[in-house]
Amino acid sequence: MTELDLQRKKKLGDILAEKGLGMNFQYGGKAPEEIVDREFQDLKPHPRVEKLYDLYLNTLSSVSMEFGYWYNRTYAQHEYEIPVYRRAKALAVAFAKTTPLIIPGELIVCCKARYYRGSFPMPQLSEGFFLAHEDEMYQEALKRGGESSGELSRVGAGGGNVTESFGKIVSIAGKFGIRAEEVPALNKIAKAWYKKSVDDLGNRWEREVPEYDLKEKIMRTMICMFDSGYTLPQGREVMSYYYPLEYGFDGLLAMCEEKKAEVAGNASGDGISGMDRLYFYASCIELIKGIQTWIENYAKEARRLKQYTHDPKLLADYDKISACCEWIAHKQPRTFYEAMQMIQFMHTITLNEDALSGMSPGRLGQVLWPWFEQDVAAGRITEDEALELLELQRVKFTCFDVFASFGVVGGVLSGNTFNNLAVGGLTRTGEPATNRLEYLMIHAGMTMPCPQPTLSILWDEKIPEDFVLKCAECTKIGTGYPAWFSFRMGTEFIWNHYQKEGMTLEEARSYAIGGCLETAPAVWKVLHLGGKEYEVPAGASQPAAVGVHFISNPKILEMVLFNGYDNRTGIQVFEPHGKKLESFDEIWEVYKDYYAKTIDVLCKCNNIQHDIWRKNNMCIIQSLFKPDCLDKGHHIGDMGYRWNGTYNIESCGTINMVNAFVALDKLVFQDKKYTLDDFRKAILANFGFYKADEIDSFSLAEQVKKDDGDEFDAIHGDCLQAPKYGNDDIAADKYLILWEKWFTKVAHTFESLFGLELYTCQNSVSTHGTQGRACLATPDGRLYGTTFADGSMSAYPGTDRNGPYALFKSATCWDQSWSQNSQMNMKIHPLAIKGENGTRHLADLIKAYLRRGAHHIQFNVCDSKVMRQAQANPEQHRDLLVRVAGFTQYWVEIGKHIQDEVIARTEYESI
Amino acid sequence: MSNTKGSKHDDCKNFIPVDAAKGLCAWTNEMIAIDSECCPKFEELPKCKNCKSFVDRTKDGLGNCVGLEDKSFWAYGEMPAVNCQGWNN
Repeated sequence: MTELDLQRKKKLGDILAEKGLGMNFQYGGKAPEEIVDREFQDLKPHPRVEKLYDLYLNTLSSVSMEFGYWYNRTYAQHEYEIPVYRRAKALAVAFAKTTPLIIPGELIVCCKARYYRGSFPMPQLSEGFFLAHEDEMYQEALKRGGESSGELSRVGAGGGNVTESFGKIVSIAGKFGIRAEEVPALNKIAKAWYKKSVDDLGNRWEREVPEYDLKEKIMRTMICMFDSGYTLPQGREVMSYYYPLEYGFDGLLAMCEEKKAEVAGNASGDGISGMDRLYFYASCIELIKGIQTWIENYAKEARRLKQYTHDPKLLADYDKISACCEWIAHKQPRTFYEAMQMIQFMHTITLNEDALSGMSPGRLGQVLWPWFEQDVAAGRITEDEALELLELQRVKFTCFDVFASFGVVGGVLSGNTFNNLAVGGLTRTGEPATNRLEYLMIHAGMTMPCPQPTLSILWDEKIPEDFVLKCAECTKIGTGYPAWFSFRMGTEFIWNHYQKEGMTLEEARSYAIGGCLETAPAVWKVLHLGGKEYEVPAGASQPAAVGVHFISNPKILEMVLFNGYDNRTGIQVFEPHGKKLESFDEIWEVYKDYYAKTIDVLCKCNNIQHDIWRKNNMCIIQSLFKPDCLDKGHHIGDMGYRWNGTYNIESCGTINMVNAFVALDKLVFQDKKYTLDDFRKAILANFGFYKADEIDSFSLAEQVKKDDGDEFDAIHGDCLQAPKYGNDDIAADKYLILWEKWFTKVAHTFESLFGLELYTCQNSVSTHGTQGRACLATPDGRLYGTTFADGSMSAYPGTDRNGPYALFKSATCWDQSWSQNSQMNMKIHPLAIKGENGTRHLADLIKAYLRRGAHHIQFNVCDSKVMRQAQANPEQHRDLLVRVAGFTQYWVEIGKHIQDEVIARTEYESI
Repeated sequence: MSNTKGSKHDDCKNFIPVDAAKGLCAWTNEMIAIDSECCPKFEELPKCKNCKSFVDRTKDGLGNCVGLEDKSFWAYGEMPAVNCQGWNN
């Protein structure tokens, strides 16, 4: 269809408006015609930060093969070694050999690879993508004879994503650029992992699951879209920076040497894994040495760069960097600056071990407090200098990229890496944990707005009001952070779930957010500095979101209605249930049956994938950093962490499913106005509309009706007018209660590879776009291919008609502490919360929701017109940030299906 | 100063790579494209392709490294060898 054809046709939004049934995309008034900017846009970062951020904005996401080459060469060299030791050697050499990169003007240094925004492939996890594209990439590389010199201004639409090959740059996965000269090396390494990668071995063994065929069909039809065992096996968890911050790397080396001598040859009563401790400690020793060399190489590089300048400030920077790196390669940091640099190294080191996203700093302000407090007291640093370092950290964290396949990076992550920094919460003894450094961290989020680290506030009644207002001010700048969490609800979930592993309430209070919204357990550790003792939180769990990801709830309903058959692909997914479905209860029973079968087979297959991962690609770096691996002598695959029951089931499209249940029950079984066959016919005909893909628009109101599509007007109108979640209407909300009571409990009946029960996680990341595209029209009136409602508690765009407090009552109709999280997104027009009074209103609104027993809420404070403008002219909005699901991302780096959904969200004009 | 014929900026010690297409000249702090012409201040960066232990080179830029303790392993010419103890020119 041409653009002109489309313009001539009627869109759903216009049709409904003509009938006086307009969807409610604005609530509480009408936005002014002119665009209204957000507040605090005059805040600026320090000059050196601004310069580095400008560089970032003009940097392409790039990969190099250096780290991967050394890893693979060393891994091959030690073919007959004990697996954990072999991997440690490979990682250690890769760190020691990788060329350091320092950009003039940086004070905090360290990059993943030898590019400012660099990363590298890890075919040891999954090589299939490269092999599938091998010839294509190779041919592309051969063609790359042109000059790249004219391409400096290429950044624009797509931000830093290399969406197409150009010059001597080959595009991989629609996001990363690699030098054509390095493509043969990538292909060579990928081939070496054929039938050996975690992906391939996992697939070989998961076929032993009797129901494997069902799993294949579930994945092909996009009922589920994510194998977590080989794509992103770590992440969505909270870092522990404790050990190197307390002992320094030399101290850790000494500790490991001592432990190694202690356990060598001793099973200590554990006949299965007691002997493994020797290899673990030996592996840690190798790894620490490699890490130390890497840090020292940065010191050398800083010294080398001195030859190029006479600028005294730059010379002082290089001296500072080299002195710092030389020290922290061995010892406990002495100053706030050294501690910040140590954090940067530790975080990058962790990210280089696996393909992972959501590696979260956690309550970093509380971890760094000892250095900040003592430096400020001694006059070694001013608050302004600390703020500059925090801004620099934001730019460095934003430079992190995760290399994974297109489906994962684009379809799930939207290119985001989810490094979540949390502020607030309570101490072990129940006092407010907030400190002055956390104020500065929030302020740095305002002066240097960028995606990473994303910020979260763990709100509690005891948190000082001025801190709450500072966070509300930050929310108003429109970056979507901080996300607001109820500390009480998080603590309840954590304590309930981990009591089985011996957790106390005091320990539960150490938790933070890992990744988007994943509540992740931690512990308290005692840190010594300058003769004082501090209690700091340290992440201590397995990845808090791996397992069964993501199940499309509306798609399961589609399976129920069509007897287990997927009309999009022509695949009979489930055994036909063969039932007449004569009541809603019968639908619900089949729904639960299909859903449980889905979880069951995915859980078994993912357990095998993760088992292969822990046997062949085990995690050593985090095992070195996180409690209690060093105490136990076991890496995380052998349950070395304190908390291990972290595997979960993630869902998507909950609210569309709820609204669909409402419409079906009302229109078919209560009012008896239509039959299920009427519904089936209307769904297959997409209610007389074109598919979203056909018109390249993914929000409901923009959908275009076919000329001959009138046949379904009545049923579609009734579906749209049926009660909807989000309006404090029990007629709709009771289906949410029904769902949550079942879903959150059934999760506990499934078991992870660690023999511990699963829990539910209810945030959609970006899957509501991708999985929406694979889902036919739904009985709530949503059309084929349009994006689902985001997360789990957000209303479907345009259907929350009774204001925010009605939405809040709907969202809290169930006990949200049953689940690891829930997710609520709201879009507010900047005028609705303008000025100091507006800030207070916003804070009151948030508190009202969290006090009702909600887990989470976050905001886009943005005039929707800005987003529409940015969609039309992306090159003029390179730095526009929006909140998607649980993360903040550049508008230009997210897919259109998600952009359309964010635009369509109900905009609150007053609160 | 070295012969710059056939070289690109990321073959130069004075080049600070920013991404796969461009980087900064350490002398001028200006952004330059990797594939643009090198200047007389070019200084060769240690890479496999300029190491004597890089042998059996192919047209793809691959070859064998015989300079480390594993005696022989494939390598690619464009890899920086700044931290390679076996680099030998």
